[in-house]
Amino acid sequence: MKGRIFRIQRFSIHDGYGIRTTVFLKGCPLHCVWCHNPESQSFEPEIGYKAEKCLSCYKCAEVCDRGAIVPAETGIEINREMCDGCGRCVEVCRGRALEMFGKDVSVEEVIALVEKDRVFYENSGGGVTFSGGEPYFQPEFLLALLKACKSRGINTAVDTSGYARWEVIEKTLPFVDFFLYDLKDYRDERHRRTCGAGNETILLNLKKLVDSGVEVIVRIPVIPGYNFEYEDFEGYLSVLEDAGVERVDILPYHSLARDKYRLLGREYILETPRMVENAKKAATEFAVFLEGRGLKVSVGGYF
Amino acid sequence: MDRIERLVGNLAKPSRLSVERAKLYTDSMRQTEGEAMILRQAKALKNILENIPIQILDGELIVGTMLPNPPGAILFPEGVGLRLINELDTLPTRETNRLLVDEEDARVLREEIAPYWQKRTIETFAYPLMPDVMGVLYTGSVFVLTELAGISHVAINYPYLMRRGFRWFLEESKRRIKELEENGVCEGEKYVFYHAARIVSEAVINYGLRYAELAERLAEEIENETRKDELLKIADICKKVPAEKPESFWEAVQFLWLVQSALHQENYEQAISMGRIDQYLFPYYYRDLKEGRIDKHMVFEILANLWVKTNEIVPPFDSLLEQFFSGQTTNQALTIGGCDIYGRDATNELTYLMLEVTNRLRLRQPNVHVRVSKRTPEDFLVRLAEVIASGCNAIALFNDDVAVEALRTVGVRDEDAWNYTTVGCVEIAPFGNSFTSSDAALINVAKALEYAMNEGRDIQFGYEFGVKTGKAKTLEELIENFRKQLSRIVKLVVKGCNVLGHANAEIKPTPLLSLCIEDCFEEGRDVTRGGARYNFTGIQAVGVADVGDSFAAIERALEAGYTIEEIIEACRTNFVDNEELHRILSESPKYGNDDDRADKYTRMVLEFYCDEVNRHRNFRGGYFAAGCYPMTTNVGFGFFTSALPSGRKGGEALNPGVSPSTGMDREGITAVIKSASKMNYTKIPNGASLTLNLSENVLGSKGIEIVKALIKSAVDLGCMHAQFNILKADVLKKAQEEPEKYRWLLVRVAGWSAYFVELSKPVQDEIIRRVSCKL
Repeated sequence: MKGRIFRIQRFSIHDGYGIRTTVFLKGCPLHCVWCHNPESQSFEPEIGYKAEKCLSCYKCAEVCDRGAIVPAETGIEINREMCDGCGRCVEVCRGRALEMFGKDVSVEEVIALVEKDRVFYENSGGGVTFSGGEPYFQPEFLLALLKACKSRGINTAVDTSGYARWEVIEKTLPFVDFFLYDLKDYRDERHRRTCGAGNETILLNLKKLVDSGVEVIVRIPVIPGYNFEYEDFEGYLSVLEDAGVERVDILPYHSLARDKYRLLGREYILETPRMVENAKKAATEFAVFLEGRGLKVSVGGYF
Repeated sequence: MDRIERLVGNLAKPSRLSVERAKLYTDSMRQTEGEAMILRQAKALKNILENIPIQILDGELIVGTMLPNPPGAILFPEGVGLRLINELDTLPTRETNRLLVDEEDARVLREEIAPYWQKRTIETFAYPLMPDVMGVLYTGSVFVLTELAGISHVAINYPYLMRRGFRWFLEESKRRIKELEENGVCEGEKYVFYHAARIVSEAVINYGLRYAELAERLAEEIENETRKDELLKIADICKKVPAEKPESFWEAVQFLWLVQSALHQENYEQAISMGRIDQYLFPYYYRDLKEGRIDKHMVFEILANLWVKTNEIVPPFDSLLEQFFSGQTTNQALTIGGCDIYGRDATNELTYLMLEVTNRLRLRQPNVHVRVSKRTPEDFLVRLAEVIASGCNAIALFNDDVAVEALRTVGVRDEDAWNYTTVGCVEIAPFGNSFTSSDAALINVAKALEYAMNEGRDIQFGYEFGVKTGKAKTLEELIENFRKQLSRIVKLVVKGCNVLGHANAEIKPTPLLSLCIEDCFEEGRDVTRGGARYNFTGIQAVGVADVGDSFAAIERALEAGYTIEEIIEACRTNFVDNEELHRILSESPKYGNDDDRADKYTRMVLEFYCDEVNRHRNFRGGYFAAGCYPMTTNVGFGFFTSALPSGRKGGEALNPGVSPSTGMDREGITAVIKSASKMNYTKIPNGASLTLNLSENVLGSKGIEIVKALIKSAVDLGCMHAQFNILKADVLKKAQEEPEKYRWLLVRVAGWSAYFVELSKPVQDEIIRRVSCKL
């Protein structure tokens, strides 16, 4: 069986316990405006383009039989609607300005890579984290990967937005050691505005997941002005308490994704002055608040 | 200000060039012309130890300066010390590692010392025997031979010395002289040896007594009662050691230090190491503590004092050596932790304490080497990880099982292998009974590939130094030619080392050092002549991954339709106008990513190297021993090496030790460790360095846990050595811009620690490149 991923990252230490390998599955039904992995969103392969590396040799334009690449004054322009992600342009790119996001791989290929760091998982209490995109949108592939890991005694985690059918999640439960569960907003209409869908399913699934007894660590991104204001403290807390969540990881906004948007020819709309500092401050205060209410809290993905 | 701050404060002055030792040595050597060389050396050392100005510095519990008015450098005119003579004017102002030079001292050096030594150095002896080797050596591109400077690079058998005391050596020498006389002195060499042994024993005893007198005098003058008592105590101790056996912890450390400082007057300042110090000091510590003679605070201060003292001396490198051995360290290693001679864990309380001292001081010296194994206690590993993760970069780790196996493979007996010590920066050796000249030479392995690609011709210099191998049509042929070129280079280096081994035995026997290594005194044979039980000569490979990556890249480019000829031509032109091929080569599998397609070639190259090295015999009756670490020669050698098929451009640094080529480790640190674990360490009995760069901001609060897991994994996987560099790239860049603000910044460079701001600019740049690359 094959699935589509866009990256496998070894020595991943911010996605769960210990030293982990994170497998990023491509494609996400949500489109959060702050998404820091924009290359994860589309289910189709995508071309990234670094203009400053382009040698303007136009070899890419020559090999593109769909005419999706046209020479510009300096460098190229990519017509993304015409691109089918065949990747030939990436192969011929001499300046390494073009990059491919999205690759179809088999379960065996993924497991072979995952196995490489087994000794590090064992010595650190680590394992594999399946992230995305939304991994539950490739349900059979994810299930096969999880089963393969479990049968090999490798610790597994799924990093999910929770935006998936419960049955799909439920099926994987026997093969998941813990969940990293994103709570992007406790307010439905704001969630709808910034993420492209409401949060009803997400909240319901969260409760079911916690009730099932598996370890769930809720991750809350702090993006001031989008999903987070100081008056939201209580709102988040009540959702967490309702679901019976015990552990929260707060992820303050960072601006490192800006370049990735540029790479994909997309606009980065999040830029506001002092956003990073504000997010850090809000996250710290929020952490103190939640801890005061008896939750276990970490900031920034450090377990 | 507490004592430790005062002790560290003693080092705060700018370093000076000291000519006192050179002068006393030369005076004596002038007077003894014509006598047996070992006797002359003994007398010269005696002249130094009895006359060199001595000092007791502020707050010291352990006394004995390595040079008058430290810190500074000592000149060894009999070795390569006089290379500095043409740079005396620029030493105080040069960019890195400045040395203050007194005008009168400069005159003495130029007019009195230099003329005498012009035709009497180790090099004078060696040159006529190997002009071919020297010609290539001077290019600085293919290999470096260090024994021109002397040998040093040895761990001192302090427990052996402390069980005897120098009075024993004195009396025993006399007894043996008498015994030989009874038999008509039929063994002339031994007879001379024991005469020399008698002289140096006396010299060392007198050296201690001079400090006893000085301490007494200072005690009389001083008003502060506490310090007066301390000084009187110091006087008592120095009256006793190193003449007699030490009986307390304080005495033992003072014994050690007086000998260490005396040895530095005889042997040049590289890698005179202290061996398994937590093991042999433990009985003294344990007894004192149990009987209430000392508390842990005092132990801590005494150890801190010892650590500080090792920083008194810096090497007098000239501008060329600065490139190859940047960082101005003297590599006095000490080994802590690890297993005993039966393979049982022997970590003890002192192991912990010494780790704490290292963590508190964070000085460039000593090189603190921690032996670890699967049997190392968990709580020690935790503490070790804490110290490393907090950015204490002065520590390196050695994996017992792997090191022991490597030594066994070259014939070291089990108990001696388990009792291995570290020497200098990365080297391993049986403790106390070996003389391994562990840094005799370093070889640019990438040069052998350059020659193989160009029928023996050097692209940088144009001369034909290599074997005239034919044009390779296939990768296999090229590998075969590489092997031939490597074999020839190794043979030349072996010749060079053996001529220099002989030269050292003739020009620079070392009678005091010979008392410090087991079997020499018993046999009556100088250590430079093979008096030790184990005699190796260590020579290191530099650039193995660049060559391995080159073979992997050629394989890939051939698949893509290029010919060997085209690849070689592209390298000759430094890939100008050949971007496509350069891209294919650069993007081919690289060592350091846990990718067998590349790792197998680096393993192969290193095995070739080791096989070539390990089969040769040395002057002292032992074998050559392969090592794999560069000091900073990877930058110097790289500067003179043309473009390689790996995609590395001409002049760029080569890869250090078994670490990947700069920026080629794209899969993260676990992949680096995996790749390194695939090397065949049983063939590397001299040691191999692996540097692991981690950036502090990525580790965050998980640092300790991660570092511990990495250590355990490296041990489980069978790496031989690992050293962590916990750094932030932006800190390094700031340090480059404002060096004066970052004098404290310690980084590890290929097996040893250096202050970042004292490294040369190219080496700094290289470190920044390595650190900023993705984890």
